Amino acid sequence: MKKTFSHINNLFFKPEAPETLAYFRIAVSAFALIQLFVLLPDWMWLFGPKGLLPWEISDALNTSNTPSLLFVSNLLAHLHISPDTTVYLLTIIYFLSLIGLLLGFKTRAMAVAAWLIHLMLDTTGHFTAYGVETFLHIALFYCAVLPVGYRLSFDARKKQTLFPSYLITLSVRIIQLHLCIMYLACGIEKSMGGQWWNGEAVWIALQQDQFHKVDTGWMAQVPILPKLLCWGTLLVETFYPVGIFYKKTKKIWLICIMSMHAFIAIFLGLQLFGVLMILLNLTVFGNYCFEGLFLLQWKDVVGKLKLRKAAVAEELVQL
Amino acid sequence: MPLKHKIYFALAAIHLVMIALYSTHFADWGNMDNPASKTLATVGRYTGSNNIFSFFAPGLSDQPYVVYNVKFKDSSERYIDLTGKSPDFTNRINNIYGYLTIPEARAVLSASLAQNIKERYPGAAKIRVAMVVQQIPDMTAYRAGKRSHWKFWFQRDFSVDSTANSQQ
Repeated sequence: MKKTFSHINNLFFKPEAPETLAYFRIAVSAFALIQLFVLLPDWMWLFGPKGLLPWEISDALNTSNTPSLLFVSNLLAHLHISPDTTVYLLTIIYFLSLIGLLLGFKTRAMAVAAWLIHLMLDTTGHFTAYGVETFLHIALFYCAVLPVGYRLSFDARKKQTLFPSYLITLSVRIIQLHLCIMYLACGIEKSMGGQWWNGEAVWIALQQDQFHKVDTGWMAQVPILPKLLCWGTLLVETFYPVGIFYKKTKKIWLICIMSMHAFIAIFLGLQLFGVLMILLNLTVFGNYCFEGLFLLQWKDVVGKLKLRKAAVAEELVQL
Repeated sequence: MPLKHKIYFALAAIHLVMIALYSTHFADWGNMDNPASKTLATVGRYTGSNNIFSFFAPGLSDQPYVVYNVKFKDSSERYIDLTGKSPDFTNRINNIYGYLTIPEARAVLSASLAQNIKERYPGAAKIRVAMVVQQIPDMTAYRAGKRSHWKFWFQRDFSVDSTANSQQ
C-alpha cells in the first residue's frame, strides 16, 4: 500500500524537466506551421466559402456548438468584410500566432489565438478533417492552458516566473496520460476486430488505393508478416500505459510506438499524422524515457565529442 | 499547496476522466439530449477531451472513391479525378467520400461535390457523380489469383442549371 502511494506521489510530484513543455510547444507550433504551408495551395478548397463543402452546408451538418468560419464571417460582414477576406485574415492571424507560439513571445495569448482559429477551421472543415486535426487541436489546447512558455522562450528571457515544480510535473503528466488513454482505447477497439488478429488489417490497409504507396502484393505469400505487424500494433498500443511508464521497458516502448507511426507515415501516406504523433511522443516522453535528453546542451555534446576525439587520438599515439 | 493549485489538480483529474469516458464512446451510451450532456460535449469539443479513438478499428472496410463525368456544352466529355495541389488533399477528400456511404448524407454531399466540379470547369453542362468502392480480397483469395476490383455503388446526375435530376 505504502509502495503504491509512493509511486502515485512520485508520478505527480517528482520534478520533471520544464524543457519538456518548451519542446512540446516548439514541436507543436512548428508542425502546425508546416501543415499550414503544406495545405496552403488547397486552402480555399478546404476552408473557403465555396470550397469542397460550401460553408452553409458544413455549418448545417455541424453538430458541435463551436464557432465556424461562417460565424466569424457573419460578424465581420457588418464591417463590409467579405467571406474570402475573412478566411485570409484568419489565416494570417493563425500564421502569426503560430510564429509567436514557436518563439514563445506572448506565449499564452498566441496559443489561445492559434487554438481558437484552429477550432474554427476544424469546425468548418470537419468533413475533411482526420486524426491529425484531432491531435493538433488537443496539442494547441494544452499550449493554451499549460505553462509551455516557461523555458526556451522570449517570455522567459524577459521575465522569469517561478512555477512550483509540481505544476510542471502535473502539466507533463496530463499530456502523457492523455496519450496513454488514447493508445489504450485504440488498442482495445482494434482488438475487437478479427482483422487485427489474422493480419488482414495491415494487408487491407496496404492494398487500399488511398494508401497504396508501395507494391505489397508479395505479402500474401508471407501471411505471418502482416499478422506479426498486427499483433505488434495491438501489443504496443494496448500496453502503452504500462510499457511507457515501466522502467525496464520505457525506452523500447517509445522506440516501438515511434516506429509504428513512421511505418504509417511511409507506407500509408499519412505523413502529417505520422510526424505529429512522433513529435508528441518524443517531446512528452523523450526526456522521461531517456533521462537528461532535454537537458543536454549543445556545448555538452561538443564537449563530449572533443573528449572522445582526444581519447581516440591518445589511443592512436599509444599504438 | 495553495487552493488555486489544488483546483488545478481537480480540473486536471476531471479532464482526464472526461477523456477516458469519451474514449469508451460515452456519447453513445444513452440519451445525451439533456443540458448536462450537451455542456459536457461542448467542453469536450473545446478541450479535445470528447474524442473517440477508433483509428482503423475494429477493422477496415471497403474504400469508397468518387469519379466525375463531365459533359461540356460543346458535347465533349471528360472523366475527372478530383485532385489537389497539396499532398494531403487526397487524404482529406477521401474523408468526404467516406461520408457518402451514409445514405442520408449522400444527396447534399454529392451536390456539393458536383458544385465544386462546376466551379473548376465552368463549361460543364452536365456532371455525373459516381461512387465506387474498392473491394480487396483477403490474403487467401489473393494467393488463389483474385485481385482487388472496383464495384459501382451509386451515381447522381446534375444539370448545371438545376439541382439533381436523376439518381441510381
